[in-house]
Amino acid sequence: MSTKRIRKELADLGRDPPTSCSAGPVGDDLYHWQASIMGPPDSPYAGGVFFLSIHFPTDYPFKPPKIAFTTKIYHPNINGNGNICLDILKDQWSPALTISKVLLSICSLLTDANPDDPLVPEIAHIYKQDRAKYEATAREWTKKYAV
Amino acid sequence: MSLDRQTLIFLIIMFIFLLLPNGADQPQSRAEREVLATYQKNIIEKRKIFRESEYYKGYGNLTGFELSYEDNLQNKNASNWPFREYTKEHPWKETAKDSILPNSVSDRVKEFWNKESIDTGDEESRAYLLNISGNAFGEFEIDKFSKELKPYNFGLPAFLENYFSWTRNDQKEIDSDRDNDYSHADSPSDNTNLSTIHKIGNISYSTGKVSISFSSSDYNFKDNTLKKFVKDDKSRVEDAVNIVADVSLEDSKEADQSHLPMYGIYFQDSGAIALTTFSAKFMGRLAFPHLVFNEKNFNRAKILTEQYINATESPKDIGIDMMSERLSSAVQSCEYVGYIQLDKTQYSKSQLREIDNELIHSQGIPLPGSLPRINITDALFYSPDCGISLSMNHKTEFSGNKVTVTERQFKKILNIFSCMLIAQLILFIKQIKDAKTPGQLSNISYSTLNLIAFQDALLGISFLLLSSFTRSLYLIISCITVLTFILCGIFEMRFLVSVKMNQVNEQGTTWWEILRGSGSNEPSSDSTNGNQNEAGPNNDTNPGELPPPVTAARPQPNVVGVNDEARYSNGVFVTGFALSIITTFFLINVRTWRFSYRRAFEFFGFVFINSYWVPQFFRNTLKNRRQAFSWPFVYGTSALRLLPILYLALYSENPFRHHYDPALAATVSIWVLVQLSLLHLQEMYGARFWINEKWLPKAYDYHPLLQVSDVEHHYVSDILASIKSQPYDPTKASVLQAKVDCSICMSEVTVPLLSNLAAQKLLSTADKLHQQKYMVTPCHHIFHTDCLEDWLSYKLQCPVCRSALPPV
Repeated sequence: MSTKRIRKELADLGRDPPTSCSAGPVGDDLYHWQASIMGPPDSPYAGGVFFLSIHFPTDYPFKPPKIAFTTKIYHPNINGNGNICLDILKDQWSPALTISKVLLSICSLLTDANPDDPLVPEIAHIYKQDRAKYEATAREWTKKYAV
Repeated sequence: MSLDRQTLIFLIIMFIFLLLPNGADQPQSRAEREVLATYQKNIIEKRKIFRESEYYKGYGNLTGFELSYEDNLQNKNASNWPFREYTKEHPWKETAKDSILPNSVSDRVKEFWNKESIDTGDEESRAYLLNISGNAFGEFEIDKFSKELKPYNFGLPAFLENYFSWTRNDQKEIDSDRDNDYSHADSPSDNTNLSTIHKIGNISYSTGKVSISFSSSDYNFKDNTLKKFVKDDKSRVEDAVNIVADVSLEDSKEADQSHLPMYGIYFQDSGAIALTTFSAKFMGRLAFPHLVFNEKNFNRAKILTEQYINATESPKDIGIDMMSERLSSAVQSCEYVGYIQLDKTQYSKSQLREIDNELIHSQGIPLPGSLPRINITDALFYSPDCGISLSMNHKTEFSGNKVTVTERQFKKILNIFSCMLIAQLILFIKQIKDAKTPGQLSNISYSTLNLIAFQDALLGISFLLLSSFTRSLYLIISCITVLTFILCGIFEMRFLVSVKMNQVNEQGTTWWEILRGSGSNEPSSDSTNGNQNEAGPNNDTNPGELPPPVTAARPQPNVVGVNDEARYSNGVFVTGFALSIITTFFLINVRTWRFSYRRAFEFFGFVFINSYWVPQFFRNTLKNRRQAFSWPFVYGTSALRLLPILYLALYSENPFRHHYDPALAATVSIWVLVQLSLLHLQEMYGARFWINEKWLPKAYDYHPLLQVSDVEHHYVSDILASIKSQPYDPTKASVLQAKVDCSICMSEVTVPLLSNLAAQKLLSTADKLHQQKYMVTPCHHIFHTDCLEDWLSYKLQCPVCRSALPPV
């Protein structure tokens, strides 16, 4: 069941790719994908390309895929290891969600962070106190790591 | 180890408390000191008389023994002592003329006491027990001649009587000051008339129960406290030994209980025991050797008693506390003299010694099946000052077991019990593994687990308390305590918390809603499992659109986070253990109730504690589930919890001394079997077999037949798009095949649509079977049955719109 579904998603992605995101398997392993997100133009991450790793569990789609950033990024909900604090990747997962929808969610997370439930409290603090400083640092990191 | 200031201050205060001299035992005033000094001088004097006594000289001038029974009958007065002189030619004899025992009593005693003795060197023939530390339980009745006995009037020595009335008047003054009531000035009982106060041991009922607890050692030269007094052959006694006995008399309803501490000698060669009480008005121990009916016994008794008194009480050690204690027992209790005759065991002396050694230092020597019991053939207790004589009731046995034998029985039972605990632990671990997914957890009844865990917590705390009372059984009892706490504190608690967290959102819903499957074809407002979602009413979610963005503000969700789990487990832990501790102390209190109340409480208690399957039965009905716990767990747990109750109630020799109660055993077993059979019926006939389905609201049907007209109103547009190509005439009956995408597996679902109701007849069998292959949710989303059922075992939530779904 999970293989069939993953293949179907791959086919859909190929047929109808979303803008600013792409994803595909790494090598022969269908359960291990690599994805890339373009920094949204209305965010400090504009111009950067961020890579992510995706691991599908064997009982997919009943369990969420494990997604992590492999590119360093300065964001209140993403920590140094690339782990993402996103509820649809944990207890709010639904089998109706696909990888493209999840990647779109992550894009919108980049645009609108959620500082009230942060993974990195320091960055969330700066986001709330000094938005300009936050954006400057984010841009700096994007230039440094994601270009 | 660094101490901070507070700890240091605490330690200093504790030190001071511990080092301060104990003020309790010191006399508080000059008058008290004088009384104490007089008392000590008195004791030294009497002990001198005791040391110089010989059998022919009689009792001597000892308190309580100045008058013989005949003197008492003739109302003579102790102040005229001595009444007669004894010499070797005219010795003192054991008759009513010379002794405190009336003839009726001493004749009766001579019938059974000290009749058959064994030679000291005889190691082969059947012998009497050597060491009788143990208990014996039996029944007594008042002798017929008891009514004719005239009670003595044992008076206290003058200085003690004055002391006693001072303390009583002091107490009265304190009381009257408190009450501020001057009418207390002359109260009727101003003089210490010792015979008017109701006394301990003054038996008013004709039959009752007696229990004796002996403690002694093998020989006086082996006893730790007496060893140092055995200096030469003369002071070494090989066929008699000191004993201390605690005698309890109570009536059959356990309403009236008397407790008498007694001292005596056990003659190992003839199986005869003689006991007396002792207090300020009756120097039982000092005159005791004269109560043993012949000179040989007298000599042995005198040596042993002297050693015992020197070992346990030197006159300098007698403090104000001990004096007050002797005084109060003089005032409050009857004095007693007791004679007990034991039966021969079926073993010889050498065998008995072997058995004793094996019981204490077990080396693996096989023991005979029936260990020797303390078997009393006859007994008599006579109270000189209350004029009562009690004998053993021959209708029942008066017997018991030695302490070492009882301990051995306990060890066996407790070992079996710990194996049962391990079995219960294994069953629990298996059950936890079997019920891991949220769907299975939601079937389990929280109250069932709670009741099981409550029983285990009670056991754990009781065993923890018990372990501090016994030295020899400490190891096995602490093992059981550890096992029980692991079972209830770790595994049962984890299970309870995961079940509770799974069912936390049921707190708001009522039974009716759960029975109904949370609503008709509308998303419910207080949902099972999860999230209120703004997109809820939007049933026509375009499949290409996301569920609402994750960062959008939501109505406060019922999401149970990780922090809540800690909160729940703390809550469960604290309430559970608080309740268990309170119940344990309540149960300790119940032990002191009367027998009939205890028995009623036991009935209700055991039936209640064994009703743990009842909440599960109701929950199965509620959720319409056939089975929640696995059958091995159900049977195993029921059996493991029923067996101890059956053992206590049916095995009359059980070391816990629980009475034989077949009614209790039958009631509890039948109740458990009833519960088990109800659970089986649920599995066979469905959980709601006992409710008329018509009374319940209709549960939601996941496999409805859809018509085109339904689809037009509520459903997603591409279902209609798929039938565009097919001709559709609402007046004619036809079946159209619509195709939708199942959003779980992303393949097609074929849904037959009826043009009108009449088209039902046109459905082929294949179509009818196919009806079971797709599911339609209350929020009008269609999925494959397999896909949606799989997802429902994880969460009862629609994958597309997240509205709550009723269980299948």
